[in-house]
Amino acid sequence: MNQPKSDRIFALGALILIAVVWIVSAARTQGDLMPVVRATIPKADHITKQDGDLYAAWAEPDEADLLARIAIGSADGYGGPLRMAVAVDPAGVVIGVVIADDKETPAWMGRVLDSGLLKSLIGKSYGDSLILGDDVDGVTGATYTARAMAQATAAGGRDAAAAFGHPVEEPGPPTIVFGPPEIVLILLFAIGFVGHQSRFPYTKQLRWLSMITGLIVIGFLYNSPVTIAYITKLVLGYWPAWQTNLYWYFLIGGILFVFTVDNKNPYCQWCCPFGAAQDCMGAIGGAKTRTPVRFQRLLIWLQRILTLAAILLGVWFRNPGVASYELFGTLFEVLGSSVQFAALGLVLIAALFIKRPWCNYLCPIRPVTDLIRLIRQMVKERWQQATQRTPAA
Amino acid sequence: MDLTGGPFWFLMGVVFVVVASGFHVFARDRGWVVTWWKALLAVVWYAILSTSFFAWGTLIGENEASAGLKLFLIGLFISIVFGVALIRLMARPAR
Amino acid sequence: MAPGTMEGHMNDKKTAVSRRNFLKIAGLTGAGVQAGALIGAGVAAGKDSESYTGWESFNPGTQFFDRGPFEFDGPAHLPVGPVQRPSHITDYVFGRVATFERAFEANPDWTLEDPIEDLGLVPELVEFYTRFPERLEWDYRTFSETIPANREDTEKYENYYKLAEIYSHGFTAHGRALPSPTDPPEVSDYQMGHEPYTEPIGDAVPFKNPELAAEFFKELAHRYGATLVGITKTNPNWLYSEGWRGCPRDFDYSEMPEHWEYAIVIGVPMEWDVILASPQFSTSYDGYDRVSTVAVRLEGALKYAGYPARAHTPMTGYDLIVPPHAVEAGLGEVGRTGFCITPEAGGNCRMAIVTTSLPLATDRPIDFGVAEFCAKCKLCAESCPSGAMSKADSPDGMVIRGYEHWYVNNGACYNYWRESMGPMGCRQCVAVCPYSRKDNWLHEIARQVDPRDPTGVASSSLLWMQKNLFPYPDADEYRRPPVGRFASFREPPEFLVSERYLAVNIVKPKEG
Repeated sequence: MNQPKSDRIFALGALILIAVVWIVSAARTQGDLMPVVRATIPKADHITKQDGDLYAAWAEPDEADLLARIAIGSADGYGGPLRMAVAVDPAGVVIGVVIADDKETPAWMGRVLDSGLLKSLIGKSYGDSLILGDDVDGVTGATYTARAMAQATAAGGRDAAAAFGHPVEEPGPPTIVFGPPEIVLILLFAIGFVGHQSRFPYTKQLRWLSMITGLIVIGFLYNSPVTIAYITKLVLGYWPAWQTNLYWYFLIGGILFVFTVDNKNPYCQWCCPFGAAQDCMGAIGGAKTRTPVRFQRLLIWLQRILTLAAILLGVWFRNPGVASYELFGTLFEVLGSSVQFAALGLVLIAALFIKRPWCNYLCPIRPVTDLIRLIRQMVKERWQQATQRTPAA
Repeated sequence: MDLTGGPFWFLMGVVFVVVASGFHVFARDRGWVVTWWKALLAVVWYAILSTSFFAWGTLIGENEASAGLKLFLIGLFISIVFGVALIRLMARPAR
Repeated sequence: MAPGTMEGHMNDKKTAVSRRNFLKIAGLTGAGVQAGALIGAGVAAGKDSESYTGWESFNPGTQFFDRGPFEFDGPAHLPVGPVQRPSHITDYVFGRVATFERAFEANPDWTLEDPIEDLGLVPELVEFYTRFPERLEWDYRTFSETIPANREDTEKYENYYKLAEIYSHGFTAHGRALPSPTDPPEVSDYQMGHEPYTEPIGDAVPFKNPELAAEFFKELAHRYGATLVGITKTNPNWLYSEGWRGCPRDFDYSEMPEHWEYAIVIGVPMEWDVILASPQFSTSYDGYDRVSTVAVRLEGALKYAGYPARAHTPMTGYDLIVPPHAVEAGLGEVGRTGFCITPEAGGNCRMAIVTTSLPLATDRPIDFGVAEFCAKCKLCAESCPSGAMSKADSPDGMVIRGYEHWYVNNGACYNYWRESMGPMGCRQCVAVCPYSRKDNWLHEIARQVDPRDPTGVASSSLLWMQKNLFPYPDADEYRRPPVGRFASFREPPEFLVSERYLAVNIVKPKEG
């Protein structure tokens, strides 16, 4: 199927625009870390920067009494690298901890801050590995953010303690996280692959099984559906450690792989929990596809522009979560503002009468998959043209 | 004198009978065959909707108007979804 | 029988007739059921405590929660370590801060960096502060920073809270007039009346059995104004280790007086609209005065019946601590806040005890899901302006004087009492506790369903609704400007709004 010319022009323009914004936002200065560092030790007289990412805090102007050393530790959060400024006293005890930089979704970061996790990190020793659940209380529903905070603090603490001369053990490679969410995801992709075959007789039932499983596991249990933040994270290059983020790699990799090989979308119709929620509503209310033909093109373009705006905002602010406007978290974690709940209610009610209204009019993933299809088409055409020009001998 | 005491609920019972009669005629006009269990579901639905209004008022009375509104909207959402399902159920031809 | 034929039509008519008959019979039965129900409802209306003009809340109907299904054989509150009795010098916050205040006034230049010995405190208090340094920090802050700042704030803002103060002082005036014992228990508990008109209690009036004695005095307690009454045995571990009223310094505090054997525990809530406007507009004194009055009345009745009795109340002083007795008496459970949370009134229940020797049937403690709920909820700890309460999921490992329960830093707590505006105190934890709710059908559903649901789904849903539907200011907002804005949990009731009634210049606190 040939995409119309306007699609190709828009796709090309969008990609160029994203690249431009990427470069410009990268060139923006990192920002001085000194205010953050100072916040870790308010009572210090003054702070001097040392080599690397190290700082020293002095109690008196004459620099005789070293209060603490501060280092910046980093770990992979949900949206990207999370950096913590960690102040450590000569004994190697953490006495101050401040967030230097984060890419987390504001509502979830708020949850972690409210839980008192930051305060609980103070008093830990440089030797503590700060594992969630063991040394440190976890935060329900914000595991990635909380874990990254603890890990970054541990890393910063170790660097600062090492500067004092303490014997510091670098932690071994991270343990591979491969649990229920990863297993279920692979299973659902497999089911989708089987069910997609045109000769498979029970596609409809299998799809419902797959969708309900996705709704429960990927949705309510783990709240890890694909969001535009995942895509923006990919674009920004915040690729996390594979050992602890297999899920992200499977999800993005899986979708790209199946598209490349099969030109089919394995996710939206077989895994997406929010799609499943809309399908359930549709089953209750007898939903039909109802777009009047007049508005079809307009609505498709509006959806594309919305998606492009979300990606550009995320890239500009170097924070994948900032423009993630999906309502998934509001449904699966029952967490959000009054506006988000109202919007969610309207979408679900609309889904009673219209088939998958979010997917068809608002979801940012649809334009992304359209783009992947387009690129695949263009590559295929070029490839065919190239092979045609050199006829087999 | 307690306005929500005995006479109030007696009147509410009377009004409910009027509402139910109206529903009976409405259903007949649409050709719905309302079996006893469909009627029961309709009563449950009406109870959920009515309770949502009652809860809203109670919370306003307790000076918690914003909480009342939010609780009402949740009840309304449930009523809409349940209501749409019920309408489809009613319209389904009796077996 | 084919439909459409004459026979078929006859059969239709037969089934149609029996359906009509069914409806006719159902209608008639319904009318009969309504008649019976109306008689029953009529009886209830006639008996209803709401119809007792002037005595609506002076009757056993106020203790409306059926504790039966939740009772268990006690004791509920067992020690997990060596037991230490509470002390007026250290644990009792008013006692401790008074001592600290005197020492601080004598040494106004003392700071936390200086050795504690410089303050010249009694050894027990020094040892206490060494074990609980956070209490010393907060007590120091109270007297060095908070009280001076409070004087400034009061000058600026007091008119805004004037009506609340007036309301509170009516209760204080009465409560302070209530008599306190001026002799040791073996003397004052056996005397009726007060100086100089005292007479010995007469011969004990014999009751048929302890059950009936308990029933009678509980009825009396309600008519004296008690909302909740429960009876248990007084526990010697919960008597103060010194400082009983009317007793000299060298009194033998080691033994519990035998005639203190039974403890009648009474509870009275503070006014609902007022308490929800905590911390600035609420007062403890409406609850304090009312519960102390009940206790003094009960003491008088017991004495007149010939039984030695002593009231332990907020207004007249305590020789023992009340919350654990309240728990044993089945009034409620201890939660995160450290006070007894009751099914009827939640945390909004000020309590007193009357000790006596009259043999009384005791009540059993109850378990209605408070511990599980507190583990998840934490609203009190999150709203506490001075962070005095623990946010830990469980009280494991928090052992105070031999008993395990959530730790409360009463130094931090007291500090905010001195920082807040309006009548003294905070009571924020009482106001935000989801259990502290009035008695209407909505809360009654929660009260009845929550403790009966073994899965915890009901309590999680209720907690979700509490946290997401109802506004909760941040803990900081209750602090003084510029950190906060002297916020209150809810707006004060109309009758406490100074602007409406007073011809004064009113300055409202705002965030700086």
